[in-house]
Amino acid sequence: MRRRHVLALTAGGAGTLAAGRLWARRDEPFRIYRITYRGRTAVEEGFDDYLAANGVPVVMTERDIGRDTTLLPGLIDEIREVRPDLVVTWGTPVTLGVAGRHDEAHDDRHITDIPIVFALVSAPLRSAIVPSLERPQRNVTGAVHVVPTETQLRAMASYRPFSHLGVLYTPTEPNSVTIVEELAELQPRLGYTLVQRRIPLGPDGMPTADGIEELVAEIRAEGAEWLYLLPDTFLGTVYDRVVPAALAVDLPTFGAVELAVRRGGALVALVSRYYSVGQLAASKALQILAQGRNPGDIPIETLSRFSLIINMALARELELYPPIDMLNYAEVVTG
Amino acid sequence: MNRVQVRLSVALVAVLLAALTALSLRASGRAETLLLPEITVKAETVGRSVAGLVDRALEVGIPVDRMVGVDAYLQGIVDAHPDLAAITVRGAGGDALYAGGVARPDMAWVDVPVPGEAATALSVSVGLDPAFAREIVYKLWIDLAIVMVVTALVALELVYISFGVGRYGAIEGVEQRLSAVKHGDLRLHPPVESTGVFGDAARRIDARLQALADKVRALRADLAARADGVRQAALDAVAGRYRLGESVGGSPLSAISIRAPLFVFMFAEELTRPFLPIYIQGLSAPIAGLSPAVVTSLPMVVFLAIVALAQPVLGTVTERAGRRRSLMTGAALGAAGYVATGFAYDLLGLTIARALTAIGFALVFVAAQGFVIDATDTRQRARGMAVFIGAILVAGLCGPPIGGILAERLGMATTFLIAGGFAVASLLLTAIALPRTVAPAKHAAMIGWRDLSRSLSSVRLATLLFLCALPAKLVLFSVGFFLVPLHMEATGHDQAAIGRLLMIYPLAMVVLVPVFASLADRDDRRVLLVASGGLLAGLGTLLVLGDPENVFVLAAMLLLLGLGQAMSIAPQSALVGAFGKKLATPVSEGAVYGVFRLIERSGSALGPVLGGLLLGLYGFSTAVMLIGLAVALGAALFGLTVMAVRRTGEAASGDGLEKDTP
Repeated sequence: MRRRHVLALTAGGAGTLAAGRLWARRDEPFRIYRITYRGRTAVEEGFDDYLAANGVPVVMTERDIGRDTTLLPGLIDEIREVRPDLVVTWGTPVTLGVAGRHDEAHDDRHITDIPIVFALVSAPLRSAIVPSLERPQRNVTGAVHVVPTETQLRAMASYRPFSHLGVLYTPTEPNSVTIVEELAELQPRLGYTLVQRRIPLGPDGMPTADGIEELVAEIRAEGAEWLYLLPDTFLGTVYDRVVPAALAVDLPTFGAVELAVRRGGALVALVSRYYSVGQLAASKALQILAQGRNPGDIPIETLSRFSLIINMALARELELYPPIDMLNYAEVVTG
Repeated sequence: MNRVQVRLSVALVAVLLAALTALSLRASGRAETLLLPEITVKAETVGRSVAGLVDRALEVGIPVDRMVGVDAYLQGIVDAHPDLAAITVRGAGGDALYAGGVARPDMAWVDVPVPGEAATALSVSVGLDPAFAREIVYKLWIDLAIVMVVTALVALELVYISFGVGRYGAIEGVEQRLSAVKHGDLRLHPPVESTGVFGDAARRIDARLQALADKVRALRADLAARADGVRQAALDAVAGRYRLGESVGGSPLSAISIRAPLFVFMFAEELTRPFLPIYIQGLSAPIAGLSPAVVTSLPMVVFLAIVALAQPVLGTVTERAGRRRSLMTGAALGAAGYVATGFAYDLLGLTIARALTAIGFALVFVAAQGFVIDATDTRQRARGMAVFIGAILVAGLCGPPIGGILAERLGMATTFLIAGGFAVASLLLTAIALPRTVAPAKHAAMIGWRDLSRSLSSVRLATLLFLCALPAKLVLFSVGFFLVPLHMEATGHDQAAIGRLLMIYPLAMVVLVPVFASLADRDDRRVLLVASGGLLAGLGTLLVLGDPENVFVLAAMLLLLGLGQAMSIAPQSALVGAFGKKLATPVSEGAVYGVFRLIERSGSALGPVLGGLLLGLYGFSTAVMLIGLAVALGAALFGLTVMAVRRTGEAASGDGLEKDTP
């Protein structure tokens, strides 16, 4: 077994060396055109560091839309003009705006002839950016940042074992509905009962926070030991009402995104580090630029290692401390 | 063995044992003094790591009395380290706040303070398991004891080898002759092939004895011509008194020279015995449609199948190529095979390496057997074969325990390289010790289909071969050499322990085969011994009903296997000859034995694959019992068949019942 690993490493080393020679022969650096959604984040750092560590010379053109997707058509025109070697996009709105849906007729509103690598798209299949994760079959590939639901639940159970799991979600968000279905399916295998409540919809069909505190109290009353804050867009805007309500009834909260624990006040979250997502996206870029691979053949992947973040101030308030060995790997946020 | 040899052997073994005992005492003493500080250092490291984590918990604001999961965390550490028995986190007053493992009063503790300002009063105590050091020293002692026994056996082997050749042979020859003459024994002795004073002396004695024998022969011819009955009777009386004209059937010298290279080569193969299935298991990858246990058995099956199938062919091949050259080629192939096995990194490579070893093994086996046959006449054949079988048995006794110890301490791959080294040593010994030319005796022909069908036309021979000989090897190679090592590995025993257990079978054989062989002087007794041996070996497997995890149960099972097969092996071989003589259509004795070996070895080859198949389907205990019951059933059927044949008197059909021949 050991010997095989050595062989694998050697092969990998030889590959890197060969690739290194490939770039050395290239006279000009690669030109990358990058569009971010809300300014520079750790994703870009991870991306740039990965390329630099592999000795890839690049010239980066950076554009930020400041959450305003109406700026995208102008940028697409610019891309056509400068014809970069690669386009890098951040998040679902930017990626969808640049690449378009895979099942729509392609026209000049989208880039279809230049490789695109995205980072931080949570559901490339549901948002119809690609038809398949294993083989995107178009000029797009990239890195997904969501942590698999089952992995989240196992982390939750190792902090505090549970028999009832509470979840609060917006019924009009397809992403949330899919996750709740998944939570229901996992019940027999992981041995818990799902306690679910829907966020009410107003007369206009839009979700509303009215009575949300009562819903949280109901979930607790039905025996839930955790409230799972799934990546629901509307829920994300009402953390300031949900989390205090949960705290009031001694219900710990578990977040699926970094924001939930850092700003929303969740007790724990299991997340992908933005920096690592950037590195994963850069490894895809490297395959396209250095090895000349077709992005349509490069699988879209998620990370296999995640970060556990514990909000210790909240743990003290709930008097619900993590098992001691969790401190060996968790990041602790105090104050 | 004669007196010089016995005395020398005893002296040699005594000196060896004394030296080894002294060395062992020193080694185990040193182990204790070296081991304890090592364990203490490790306990400190573990203690510091626990203290660091406790400090971290305090630092992030977890109160000391509200920490979660500490007991489980400490228990996990204790479980992962066999040398630690308990870990306790103590408060300011030394009271235990959290604890894992079991504290005992006779335990030594290592204390580490929890760093950081917040907790100057907290400490972590790590308790050392007093049984651990004792256990290691105890294991070391067992290993040393086995090394001692094996060293003694190898020393005796060396005595046996060195006697009979060169100057020692000549000295021994002179001693033997003088001793015989002193006791009024005037038989002729096999010639001494040595120059020098002792060789000359022996030859001069031989010349005198020969002259005497010639005179007696001339006198007897003279008296016979004259039909002088009285004098003839007187001459016979004198000749009988001094055994004039007879010959001493001593071990033929040149046949003995095969013993060293053969022993060393067989030792190499036996080294790998305790861990081979485990080594294969480590490299095997799933094959669709086959259970992992069957996959593991494949390289072993390939090995045994090649050995079984190659043997009938190799008899003539080695004769044509020369036994010496064949032996050297076989040893070289074996060496290459072992080294390749040590470096193999997947199942296919391993199987090819084992196949290579198998060809080498078969070559050495057949060439050595052929060499003994070439170097002996019919009168010396039995003693020559005893040399051959003795080398294999002693190797089977010494190899597994030493192999287990080597694998445990140096790793399995390294032990294969060592086995390769022994194969090379065997090659060199062949080159040095084996005479370049030995006139080949009349060669045994290859067995053909006709021999096979004729041999199997006898009901008694067919049942003997298929219900006794084949199952005997099957149970040995499936249970003894495949399932037991795998099972012991799975239940947490080390390879040295497996090697020790695999010593039981050959030990029983070495000690008991001669005993039962001397009992088997009549065919009805032979049938009884073969049948009851099979029953004993087969039913012994039912012991796993007790507790299959218990080493002593496994040991008892292997002992019964050894006892049963020791009972049956020699009588079985004799019965093959006896039944073969009564065949309706005669087949040469060599061919009958060829058929016997082929069928017997098919059992060896089938053993691991059957074991693997049953293991995958039913688990260890059931697999072992199924094989054992099949063996017992075969033995019972054989006994009943022979009795039935006897009663109905198949004499008319030619497959007749012989009267008990003494």
